[in-house]
Amino acid sequence: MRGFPLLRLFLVAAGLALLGVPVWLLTRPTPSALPPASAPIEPEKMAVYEVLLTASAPARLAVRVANLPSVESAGPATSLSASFTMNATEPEDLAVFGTFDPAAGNSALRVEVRLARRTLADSTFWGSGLVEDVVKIPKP
Amino acid sequence: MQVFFAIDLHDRGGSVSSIMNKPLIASVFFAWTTFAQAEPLRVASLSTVMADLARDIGAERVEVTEIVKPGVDPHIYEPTPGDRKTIAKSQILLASGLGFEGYLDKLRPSLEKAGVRLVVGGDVVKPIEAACEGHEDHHHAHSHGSTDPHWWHSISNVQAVTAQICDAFVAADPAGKDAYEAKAKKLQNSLAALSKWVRLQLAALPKASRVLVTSHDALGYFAKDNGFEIFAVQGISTSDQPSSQKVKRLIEEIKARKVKAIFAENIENPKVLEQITNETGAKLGGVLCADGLGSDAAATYEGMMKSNVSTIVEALK
Repeated sequence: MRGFPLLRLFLVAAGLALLGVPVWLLTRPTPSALPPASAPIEPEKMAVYEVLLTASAPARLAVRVANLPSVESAGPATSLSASFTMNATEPEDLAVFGTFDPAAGNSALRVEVRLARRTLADSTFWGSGLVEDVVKIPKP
Repeated sequence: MQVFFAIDLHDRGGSVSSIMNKPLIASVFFAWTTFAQAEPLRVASLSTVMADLARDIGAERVEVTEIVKPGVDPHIYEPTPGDRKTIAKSQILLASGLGFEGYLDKLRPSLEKAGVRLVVGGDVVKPIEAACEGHEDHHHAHSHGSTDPHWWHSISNVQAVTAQICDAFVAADPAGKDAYEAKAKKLQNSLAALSKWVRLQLAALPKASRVLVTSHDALGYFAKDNGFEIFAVQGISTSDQPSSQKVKRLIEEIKARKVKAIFAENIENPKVLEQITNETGAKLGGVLCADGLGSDAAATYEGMMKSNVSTIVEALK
């Protein structure tokens, strides 16, 4: 060994390189495979969803998308239409509300969701007084 | 009341002596029915959630003893000799199953010997796979299968277990069939209402915000039902130890996804989570009940679910 300085240099370099591997593994930047939760959505992925609420009797109607302000009827009404621009690859759920006169007894609230004239969801909820539920819009 | 009516029919037109005996017979039957009602079905529970369901279904006909109490970490719990005695004296033992109680197989022979009927919730639920991400990074001090044992975070699973407990009570105490079934039906209705309440609350959360960073991976069923992604510091058990590399990766993920809040658990030391909040800027969103019921408002199943959902929505909206 004493007579081979190049070999000694090689061995020292190899040893340092081996020690560096775990350090590099611990400290290397790992790019996230997933997009940020609040990443802006590309405009071409947005779509306009039309929502139509139909009540079996006059009621205060409202529909809400995520944490946006809800769209409400001005007073008791038998229908309410609204449109929402949402991410087409993962549309939000709709919270729908119909506040009926309790004296009206069992009442129905129908919710239709359309995209480009195609019906994506059509649900009817029954109850008395406040009829409320969530409509999930299927992914395209 | 049916007993007295039957006596009355038999005695109608009977002899004097039989009429004189009527109060005596009635007293004997009254004492017998009173005694029968005074002896409740003895139920022990290794699950705080199942204990709550059992109390609702059994009402005054059952006496529920919680072996594992709220606030105790069930992942590391082992029954004491006193607990084993209590279990041996019971008629029914409720357990979560799916590997949640690592000691359950050891208990089985003594249960059979003592004639204790074992009701395992995990037998009637739809299990999901336990998240295996990062398992190469840490060790398991706790024994569990490849399924996630925290089934109670899905209300539909709890509905199935409600029916299971009702059936077990009817089998052990057929005289209480009507009472058990009526209470179970009432509970099923409450669970359906709770399910709708959860949907309505979570509808206020944009889907991109539905990311849960928690102490350990206990909310998989909740995530599956409600479209959440889970990032857990620990694995499926509280005894799983995360490596520094895993914590580092998690910090990077939280930063990249701009997660607003992360959540501690009612039985966990949130020290690691606090370190993560310091490095990511995410806030500590509150405390979730992951391994069973909590205290105060979260002391019932409905209360626990409402507490968890409210905490999540408030922190992530």
